[in-house]
Amino acid sequence: MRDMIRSLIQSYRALRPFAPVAPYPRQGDVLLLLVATVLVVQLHPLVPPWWVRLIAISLCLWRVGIERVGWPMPSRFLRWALTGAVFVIVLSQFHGLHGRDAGTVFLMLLIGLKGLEMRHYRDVMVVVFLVWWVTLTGFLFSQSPMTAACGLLSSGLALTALIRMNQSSPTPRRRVTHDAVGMLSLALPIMLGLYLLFPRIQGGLWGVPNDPLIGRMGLTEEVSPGSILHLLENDEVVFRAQFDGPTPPVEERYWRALVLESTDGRTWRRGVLKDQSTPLAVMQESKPIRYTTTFEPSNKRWLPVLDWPVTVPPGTRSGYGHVLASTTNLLSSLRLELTSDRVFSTARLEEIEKRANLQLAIPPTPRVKALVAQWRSLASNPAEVVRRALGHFQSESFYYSLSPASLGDRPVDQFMFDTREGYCEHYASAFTTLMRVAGIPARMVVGYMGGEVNDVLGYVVVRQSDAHAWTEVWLPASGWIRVDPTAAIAPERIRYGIDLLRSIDALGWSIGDVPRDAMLGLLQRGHWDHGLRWVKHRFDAANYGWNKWVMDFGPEQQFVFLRTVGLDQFGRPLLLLLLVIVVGLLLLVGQSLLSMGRLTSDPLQRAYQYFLRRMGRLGLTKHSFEGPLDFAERAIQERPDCERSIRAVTQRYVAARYGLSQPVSVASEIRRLTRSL
Amino acid sequence: MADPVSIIFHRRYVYMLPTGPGFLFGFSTLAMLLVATNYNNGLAHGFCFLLAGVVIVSMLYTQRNLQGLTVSAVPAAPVFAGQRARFPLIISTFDRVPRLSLWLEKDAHPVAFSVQPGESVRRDVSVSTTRRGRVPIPAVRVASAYPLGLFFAWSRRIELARDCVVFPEPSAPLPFPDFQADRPVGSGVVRSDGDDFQGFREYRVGDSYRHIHWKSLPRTNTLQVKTFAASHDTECWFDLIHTPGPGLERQLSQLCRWIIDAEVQQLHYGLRLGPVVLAPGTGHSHKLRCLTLLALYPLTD
Repeated sequence: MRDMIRSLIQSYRALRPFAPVAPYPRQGDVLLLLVATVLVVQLHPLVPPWWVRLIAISLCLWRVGIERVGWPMPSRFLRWALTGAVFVIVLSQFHGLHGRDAGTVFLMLLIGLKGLEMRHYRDVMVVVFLVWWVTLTGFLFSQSPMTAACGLLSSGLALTALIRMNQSSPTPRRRVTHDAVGMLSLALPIMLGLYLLFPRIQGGLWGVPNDPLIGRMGLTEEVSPGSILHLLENDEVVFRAQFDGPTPPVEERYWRALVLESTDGRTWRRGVLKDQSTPLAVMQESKPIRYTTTFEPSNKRWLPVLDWPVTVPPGTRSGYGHVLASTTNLLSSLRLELTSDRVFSTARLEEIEKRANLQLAIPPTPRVKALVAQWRSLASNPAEVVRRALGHFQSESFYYSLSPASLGDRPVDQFMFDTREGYCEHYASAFTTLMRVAGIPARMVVGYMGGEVNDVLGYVVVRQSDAHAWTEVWLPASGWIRVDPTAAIAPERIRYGIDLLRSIDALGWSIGDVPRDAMLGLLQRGHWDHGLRWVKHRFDAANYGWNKWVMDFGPEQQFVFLRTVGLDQFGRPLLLLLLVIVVGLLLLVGQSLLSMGRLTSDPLQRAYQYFLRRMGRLGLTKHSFEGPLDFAERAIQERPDCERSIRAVTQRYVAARYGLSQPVSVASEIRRLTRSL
Repeated sequence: MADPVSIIFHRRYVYMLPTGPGFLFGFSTLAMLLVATNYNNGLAHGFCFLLAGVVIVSMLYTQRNLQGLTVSAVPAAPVFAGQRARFPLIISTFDRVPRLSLWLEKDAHPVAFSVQPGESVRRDVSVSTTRRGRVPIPAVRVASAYPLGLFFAWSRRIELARDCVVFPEPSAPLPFPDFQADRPVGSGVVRSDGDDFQGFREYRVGDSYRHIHWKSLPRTNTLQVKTFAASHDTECWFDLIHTPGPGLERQLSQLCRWIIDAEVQQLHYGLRLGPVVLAPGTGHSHKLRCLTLLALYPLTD
């Protein structure tokens, strides 16, 4: 084996004519590379122990001192001692060099050490490669556009240093920039081809670390009064959904995440049924809504989906109450193609389900019992009871408030008769309880409501502040149906979204009781708001595009892309072949682009061509096999009268072409002589 | 058809291979791709592909750095055997692209050089000589690793139709042969200060001060030298047959030494190499003609 490698190396060396002496790195190149090194360490998204950056950057600054101030180079012993110390520190702190964090810290320290001691061309090469590697590790921690820009900056500086070092003599800086920019612009299409067509493989080859960075706020599995309200100020994006057809109106955009049927009177949580899944029976006149959702990482499993989901995509499973959950925690963003349907019929109610959805933790107070009995006596069927209950919320003075009074140990009673103000979870909680008192199976659903339609790309972006809670009741005629008591009290919440509620609340008005004119004034925002919205929507659209094409572009997304361009039938070998062809074609284009700048500007050649044209006018053309001297002899025989000029021109041309005279002055002389022909 | 004395590098004349760092870059990029795949990282994939794209494109730049270069050989000055023959090569480019970090094989000063647009650069290729004769210009190659040093391109061997005449190595000084002993036509020492006055000519380095015509200096402002016609019996002849040996090469070396000495002493000398006879004369070009005859005298094996 070793012999084989040695003979391979030997035959490779024999192929190359000679090894030129490697250029010695100049001071300017070393300093540029040190700038790149300091940048790549400083702008790295990892937050390492404080000493890592300190050591790496001080080592580089030490080298800057050596170059600029003239400090002595560290001795070999010192360098070995430093290297050993770095190894020991990393090994003791991280228990090995394996893994993302340890590997990154090790590379950072290594680049500092190598930056300090680089002397030869080879060392500089290694530092350039290390800059690229540290840039790469940065992308493992963050894939934001900012990280990408920082990485491009430092790795581009390293590339420039490499180009500069490979120039024999200091060349004008314009030339270096010209070559670097030219190479980058020719490389971009090749990168794009590789990015889109290179067959992607599902990752996790040796395990992905648990990301401690994701510990986000969001919906919790338990809902009690106030637990949704605290998300009000949270503008973090939960997901973005792009509809295939028209986007449903805001009143129909209910995104269910969790169905809570178990309660202790205050807090709602999932009960014993949570792992049972109940399929939907889709009616014949179904109108499926297809859409694609990109969920942001949340470290949770549930997936908010539009009412009512009818498909279970791979990687997810369906839970009780027609909710979807991912099989793993969402550590990175997830893209799913989903289908929902509004025309449906739920299965009939099992006994165990009915019992769970009628459960009451606290016995109702007499006031509540009397109220419910009054509704029941007036209604002929359960649907009528629901309508009357909703009518009660509308006719009595209930208020929607973003700062409700706290409730005591009989929350429903207090809410219905004393405080009468609350947020969506108060209303949903009270309404569900009242329905159960009335003997109608009811449950609480939490998720998100509405969401903002992006002006640019038309997708719906849903944020944490869009969190919402509502009720579902089971009626014998239709099965489970959605009832949103908040819509009865504060239709603004439903129609205009949470932003309007926030501005109403900020003005000190009570929601649900805002004069019509004031409402219109609020809706007609000023120019400033319009401008802000314009910028915000474009920014969000750019973010969405970035997520779609960079962060989430894995094997599945690649397949989706290949399907849209009609290449999904290609196997991997065929795809690779196509890739090779594409890159080859791009290289050909690049080559012809590069050779466009090589139009001849040889003055001597042009002057001689001029002479030949003049001779052609005299009836004498040079054959392609003829040299200048042969042609001159033949021409003199034909036209002895021109002998002197022909001889003079030919002599000068040959002397300049094959001798040492300056082509430029000779060219003008040839032109002068030719004119006198 | 004879080889040309000038050549332009066509695309097909340029070959390329990765350098050591180039191979290292390949392995490093593969490892980067593996990391990107493991972490399912789109940005890392993009970064790998961007680096790969830049390096692939750098191949075009490396090739372009050599393509279109013009290399021509100008006549080389003759040397004596044992000296290094230097062949001047003129390397120029007639397009608008500067060529940076070029290397020439067998360069007399092996350092990198660059050629700016419309500019000619002279590089000397040197070879050592051991024996007289014609030494052809060695086949050389031009190479470059610009811009990234990850690919190394070199040209086809350039074989141009130029050679260098190598005179025999002059032997140790020996007194001139006894011209009187052998005078088939008549030969002798030039008596430059005894014979008939012939005329004036311009001063040349090496002329005796005694022959300078000082009187005419204020009038002509140039140094004039009196010349004297040498009579036939004062010509000297160098004949191969009467040169001490042993061996042809030693004889030729001896002749070489005499011709150099005779030229220094401003003698009127002729050369006879068997059937080839060079009439007596003097001056630099006469010396070169004589020495070239010696250099190209048929070799005996």
